Amino acid sequence: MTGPSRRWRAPRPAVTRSRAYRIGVGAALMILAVATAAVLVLAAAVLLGVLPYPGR
Amino acid sequence: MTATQALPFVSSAVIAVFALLVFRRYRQRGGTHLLLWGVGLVMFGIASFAEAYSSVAWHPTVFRLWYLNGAILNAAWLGQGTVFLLARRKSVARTLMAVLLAGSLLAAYLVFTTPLDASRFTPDEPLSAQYREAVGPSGEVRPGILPRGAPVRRITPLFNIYGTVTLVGGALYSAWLLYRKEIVPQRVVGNILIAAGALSLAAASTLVRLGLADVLYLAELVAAVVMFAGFVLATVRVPAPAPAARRAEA
Repeated sequence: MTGPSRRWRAPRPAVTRSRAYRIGVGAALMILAVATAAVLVLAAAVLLGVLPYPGR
Repeated sequence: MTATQALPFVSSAVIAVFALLVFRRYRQRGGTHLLLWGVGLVMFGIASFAEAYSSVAWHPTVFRLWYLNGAILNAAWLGQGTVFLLARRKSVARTLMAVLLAGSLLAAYLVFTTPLDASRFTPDEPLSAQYREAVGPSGEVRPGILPRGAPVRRITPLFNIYGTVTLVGGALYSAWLLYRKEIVPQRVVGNILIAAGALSLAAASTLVRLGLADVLYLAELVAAVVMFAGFVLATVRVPAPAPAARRAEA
């Protein structure tokens, strides 16, 4: 054989990746990322005094 | 006692069990991240216990512990654990730890030297509705337990933003990495739950600052239960496939 030797890799454990699992994880990650960004923007607005609230 | 005021009693119990499990895992496996998560949970538990206590009686030290642990420190310390877990360079994690430690000591000094207005306290309302000024039903501004413009109130959002970015962001990043590597679905879901629980806390803290003080106790209980479930899922031992199944896969 003259081709490059293949590097041995440990077999990955079997994972069930159903359609529902992929859609669920994708949607959850996206919703949480957007919600986190929204909370951070609100917190920064409070910190900077952009949003008025009594007693800052 | 209202239902809202009863919530911190349940939260304290959940957090106590959660913290014990995290410390037990730390004793078995080591890891600075587990130690910091345990410390952050103890802070969370102290804050929750202070809320429970304050639905019965007033004590200035209990109030100061509530504000220091609940409003300022716990999210940042939990997030610092995640920084230690995920940081590729430990020097970055150690530097951030030193900054957090110095900031925490400063915050503790400020909390314990700020004068309190105990006359504002009532056991009938959650602490989150009393610690700062509130607009009364007839439009009058009622004073809070902490004085208006106190320096300690100005530094609180810094800790919470750091805690939210590191804890929620770290859990989401871990979930994404595990999902892409196709390793263990339970750990993906576990990290998503940890992120959701932490986000519930961060969102409630921000809403309190915007005047929705009643949501905090419920959000704390949701955060405690959801993060606990996430931790259990993320750390559960996955059984190895049976030999027959392994042969079938091959």
